[in-house]
Amino acid sequence: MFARLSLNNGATLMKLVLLANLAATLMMTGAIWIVQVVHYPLFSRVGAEGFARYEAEHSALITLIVGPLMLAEAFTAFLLAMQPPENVSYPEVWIGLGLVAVVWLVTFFVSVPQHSILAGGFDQGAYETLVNTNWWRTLAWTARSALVLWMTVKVIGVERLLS
Amino acid sequence: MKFIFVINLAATLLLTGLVWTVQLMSNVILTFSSYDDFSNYPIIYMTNYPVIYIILFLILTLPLMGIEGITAIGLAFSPPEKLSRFVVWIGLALVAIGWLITFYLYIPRQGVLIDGFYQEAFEALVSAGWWRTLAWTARSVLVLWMTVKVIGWSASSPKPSI
Repeated sequence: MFARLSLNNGATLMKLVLLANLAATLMMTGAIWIVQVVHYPLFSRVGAEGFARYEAEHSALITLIVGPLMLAEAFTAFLLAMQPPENVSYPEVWIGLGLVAVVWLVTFFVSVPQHSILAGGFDQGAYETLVNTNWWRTLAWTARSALVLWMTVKVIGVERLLS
Repeated sequence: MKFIFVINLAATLLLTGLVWTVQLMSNVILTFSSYDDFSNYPIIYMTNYPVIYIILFLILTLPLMGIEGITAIGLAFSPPEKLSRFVVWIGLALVAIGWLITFYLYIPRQGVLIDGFYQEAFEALVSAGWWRTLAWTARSVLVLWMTVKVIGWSASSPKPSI
């Protein structure tokens, strides 16, 4: 009885972890698209005067939403990779974790260094690199959204969704 | 149960991330409008914004809002198993609140700002934006709760191996 209870609790927990992962990923996808399409283009229009202050304001505020979401997404993706929810396979959760690794690597080895340059004032090269490479993150998060939604569909049950 | 449940969930979560980002961007501009030596930026932003970005913004947001609205109506009239009509109607009411704030408060204030940057109008825009952000955040919590109920709490089928 206790073994079954434990199994059920673990299985339930992984469903909740999947939902937390889904929420973080989809919110990040909505955020990154608006940053890529609307917010980053504004950078080139701010002007040299005061740009460093603008960059500082932007970084401080965007971190408020992106920081907790990225951490929650990475933590839950790691947990899912360790123990996939029922009906979800190991390759699916490991591809999901791989895509998280892609966005983190691009963020910390490409985006953050460009932001550091821009923090000192507007730099056309850093700006273009930031915008162009942000497409990689945008696509990776979009792919993650599709993948995690697919996992959620599998956990709910395709038959139930079609009935 | 229908696929519209998952589509509704996805649209709401995407829109929540999106409106939070728009709201924080608006706060950056609000902060800058108070700087005496840098008051030109909000004017540039609001009055001379490239049309292509406005179109892209609308391409991102309007279809998502439309999909969320249509699927929320579908769920209200045909709730998935395990969900009460009361819960799905609260979800639809929150969609209505988001739409009303967007089309009756947010967009008209943006329209005023196209003619020029007016501090009071922009502050009103940001204020409306917070209400909208709150409505979508509440919807996200609600649809996630609905998903928890739909998925259920017990384990029944074996986990597939590699």
